[in-house]
Order: sequence, then C-alpha cells, then structure tokens
Amino acid sequence: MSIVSILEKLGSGFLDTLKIFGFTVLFSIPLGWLVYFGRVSANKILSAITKFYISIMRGTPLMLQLIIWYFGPFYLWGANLKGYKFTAVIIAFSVNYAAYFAEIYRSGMEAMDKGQYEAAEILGYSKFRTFFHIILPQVVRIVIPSVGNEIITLVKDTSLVYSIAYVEMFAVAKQIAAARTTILPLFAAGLFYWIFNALVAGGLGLIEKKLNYYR
Amino acid sequence: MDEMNILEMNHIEKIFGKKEVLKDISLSVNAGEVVSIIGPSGSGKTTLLRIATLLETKSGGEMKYCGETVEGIDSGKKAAKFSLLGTISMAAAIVLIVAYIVLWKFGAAWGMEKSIINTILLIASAAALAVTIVFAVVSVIIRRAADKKLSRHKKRFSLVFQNFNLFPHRTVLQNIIDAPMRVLKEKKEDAVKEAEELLGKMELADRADAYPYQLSGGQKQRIAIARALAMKPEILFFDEPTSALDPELTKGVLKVIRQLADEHMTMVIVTHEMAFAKAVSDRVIFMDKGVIVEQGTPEEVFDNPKTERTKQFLKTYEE
Ligand SMILES: Nc1ncnc2c1ncn2[C@@H]1O[C@H](COP(=O)(O)OP(=O)(O)OP(=O)(O)O)[C@@H](O)[C@H]1O
Ligand SMILES: [Mg+2]
Repeated sequence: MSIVSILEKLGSGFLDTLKIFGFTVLFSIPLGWLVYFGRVSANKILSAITKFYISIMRGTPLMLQLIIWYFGPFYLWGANLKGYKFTAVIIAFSVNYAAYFAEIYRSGMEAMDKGQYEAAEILGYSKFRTFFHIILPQVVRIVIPSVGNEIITLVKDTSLVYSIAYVEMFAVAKQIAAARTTILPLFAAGLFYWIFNALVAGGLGLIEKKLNYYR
Repeated sequence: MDEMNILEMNHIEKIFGKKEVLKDISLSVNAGEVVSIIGPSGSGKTTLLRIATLLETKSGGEMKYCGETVEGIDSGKKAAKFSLLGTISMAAAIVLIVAYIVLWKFGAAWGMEKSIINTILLIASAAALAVTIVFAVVSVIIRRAADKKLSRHKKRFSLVFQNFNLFPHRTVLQNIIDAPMRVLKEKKEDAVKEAEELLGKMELADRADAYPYQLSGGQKQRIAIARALAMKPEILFFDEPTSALDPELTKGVLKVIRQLADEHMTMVIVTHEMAFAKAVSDRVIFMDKGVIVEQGTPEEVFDNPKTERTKQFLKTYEE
C-alpha cells in the first residue's frame, strides 16, 4: 500500500474526525452557557443538580461516558437503536465539554467588574441587553484562551470514539497499521492531528488578536 | 427660583446584616439645587447615593421623585418568596418523579403490581411540576411589574461613579449614544448630534472614536458625565467623581461640574474636595456614622460649624 493511498484513507477518516469536532464545538459552546446559568441560579435545587452534573462530567473518564451514552439505552431499556452511534458520540462529547465550558464561563463572569452591571442598570438597560451587549463581549475576550485550550484538547479527544468502534481517522490508522504491520499510518495520523491543531490554534490566535482591540 | 421638588427622602434607614449604616436620614433636593455631601470614610455617603439611585434597597423609610413615591423597590422580596415556593414544589416534583420511576421499574420485582399508587404518583408529580411553573411565572410577573413601575423613576436620575465604569469595548461615542438609542428610543442621528454637543462641552470633541483605555482618568470621567447627561436626567448624582484622579486631572472634571451648576443642573455631589464643595454648592450636608450631623449653606457649615464633630472633621482638611 502506497503512502498516497494510506493518506487517502486517512483523509476520508479525517472527515469523520472533523464532523465530531465541528458538531461538538457547535453544541457545547452554547450548552455551556445554559449549564453556567443553572450553576449560578438562585434556585438552590437547580444549582445543586448542575453542580453535581459538572462534577460527574469532569470527574469520570470521557471514554466511560461515551460507552454509557452508547450502550446505556440498550442495557437500561433493551432499546436497539439503528444509526444511533454518531448521535451518541455527539451527545457524549457535547454534554461533557459543556460542563468544562460552564466552569470556564463562570470564572470569566466572576472576573467581570460589578461596576459594569451597575453602569448598565443606571442607564436603564434591560437584563437581557446588559448581558448580551455589555457583559458577554467582555467575557468572551476573557475566556477565549481557556476555551481555546479545551478546543485543542477536543481535537485529540475525538480519537476516544475508538472505544465504541466508531470509525474515524484514528481507527482507520490503527486498522491499516495492524493489517500491514507498518507504523507509518500511525505517524501519518499523528501528523494529521498535529497539523489540524496548529490550524485551530492559529485560528484561535487570530480571534484573540481581533478581540484585543481594547484593554 | 423654581421650587419644584425633585428628590425627597424621609427617614431612610439601611441595615447591612446587623450594622446600621444609615439611621433616619431625611433630605430633600429641589430643582436647580446643588447639594454636597461631605463626611468621613464609612459614614454612609455612598450607601445613601446607592439607595437614591436604586442600586441598593433601603431597610426603611420613604423616597419620592418629583413628588411620586418610589414603589416596587421592595417587591424583590415578594418575588423571592414566590421563587422559594417554586423551589420547594420543584423539590417535591423531583422526589415524586423519582419515586414513580423507581416503582415503575422495580415495583414488579418487589412484588408490587402496577397499582393505583403509580397513577397517584404520576398525577402528583405532574401537579407539583405545574405548581412549580406557576410560581416561577408569578415571580417573573411580580418582578416585571416592579421593574415597570421603577423604570419611570430611573429615567429621572443618573449617577457618575468614582471609577467611571465606562464600557471598555465601546468607543467614546458608542458609550454615549447607546443608552439614548436603546432605552429612550432616540433616532441615531439625534443621539449622535447630542453626543457631539456634549463632547464639545466636555472639551473632548476630538476623542469620539477613541476607546476608554486611550483616555486619561480625567477624560474618562468627563465622558462618563457626558454619558449620564445624554439620558437627560432631572437630577445627577456624583460619588466622589475625582477621588480616583491625580490633582491635575481633577481640575478639568470639577470645571465641568461647576459649569453644570451654572446651568442649574440639579446635582447631589459626594466629595472630599472641600474648596470645590464650598464654591459650587447651595447646600452642604455633613454626615457621620449614618446620620446627618449638620446641614446648611456653605458659609454656615464651613465657616461657622455648629457642632464639635463638624469642626473636628473640617480640621482634618486644613493644612
Ligand atoms: N454591601 C455592603 N455590605 C456590608 N456592609 C457595607 C456594604 N456596603 C457598605 N457597607 C458598610 O457601610 C458603611 C458605610 O459605607 P459607605 O460606602 O456608604 O461609606 P462612605 O461614606 O461612602 O465612605 P467612603 O468615604 O470611604 O467612600 C461602612 O461601614 C461599610 O463597611
Ligand atoms: Mg463612598
């Protein structure tokens, strides 16, 4: 098997990696805000439940969560869901990363100056407008480096779907390596992750720079 | 002289935990009046302004803007009561739902046939959920109604903070025009035109497109004053507007406030600048330990203080 055909196979596997990455980012970033608001809710029960949820998400292996999300419906209810694997992957990743993001947002919100809320209140802004126009833009700038770190971790974490036999680039690389007894595809896969992460990091750097128009 | 009453505070009290920070404060400000509040650190000056500007709730007393009693400040407590009830019924709903699921899943294994209990649990948990939603909605409605009542008063005043609190991610112009556009629903052209006039008055016409970080403290404070004035308040409160500034930068800000006084802007100014207070005020209030110790014209308070406490305090400002 030539290097070109290895790369071709890996490339098509990489599309699956990209799909997991893209959907997870898309869902977990807003979901993290929802979790954040639950976490800081004045409703004690809601905040206690959310706190528990965050501690489970962060305190147990993502691989375990992935397996539970995928096999859970079958073990609990004997449900045999067709085509559920990708959904399970996205749910597992999204709810897991949302927990991390919620904690990042929380530290960002805590760093906000109380004076900003008070100035907005004196000017007569609604709570909604205060959040979206005054607070959020400033918090986004504060949290973007930490969110960026999580996103880079996510790129690597996508390989965990191997544990429920979801085929993406890493699985493809392992298959070829085993079948041909060559380490080359594994190196190539590593190269893919590395390059992709460099691109992601570069993109994040650009966003960061763009947001740094003020001090 | 226009004698219209803008702000009236009667027997205002404030308690933080167990500490009585304001005790029976009464004061009244008429249109066009400039009132300075002086007093040692911790005497409750900021707290008084925060109550007047509705940033803080009062523990007792009554407040009126333009003769209308400010109502609805304390309805937050009523709303909180309903959210607490909501929390309790939510807890009940959770317990009932868990009980229902447990019984539904394992009831048969424990030798309990699907029974009337299941149905009762199901209905009860649905009821508890409904009650939760009702309480949540009621507390939102109470808050909304209170906000609506308060918003009329909120348009009547503005506050200039010690540390400016400009929005750092917005340019000077955006800082000034945003609230008039969003809150007062002014047209953009009108808001911009007004902002430019205000900037001219603040001698900052050329800084409209700067970001706050590019300005000196004194310039920031003048922008903050312009932002407050753009809302056309009937009364403007200042909480130590120059305390965060170097002496040279203080001058420009005081000059602007003095100009506003000349234009008969109604103002209440908390300050440690005694010479300025003496020059600009119609009335001076000396506060200590949460009470008004003495008030009168600047001449009365500064030149012929009646109480020993006032004399002592003023002495600390003499070189
Ligand atoms: N949120 C709060 N919780 C508890 N105590 C408070 C709070 N805010 C103010 N206090 C207390 O109330 C008292 C009055 O404070 P305040 O800030 O009104 O004084 P001040 O006259 O403005 O002082 P300064 O000249 O230092 O600004 C102080 O003893 C302060 O510790
Ligand atoms: Mg103060």
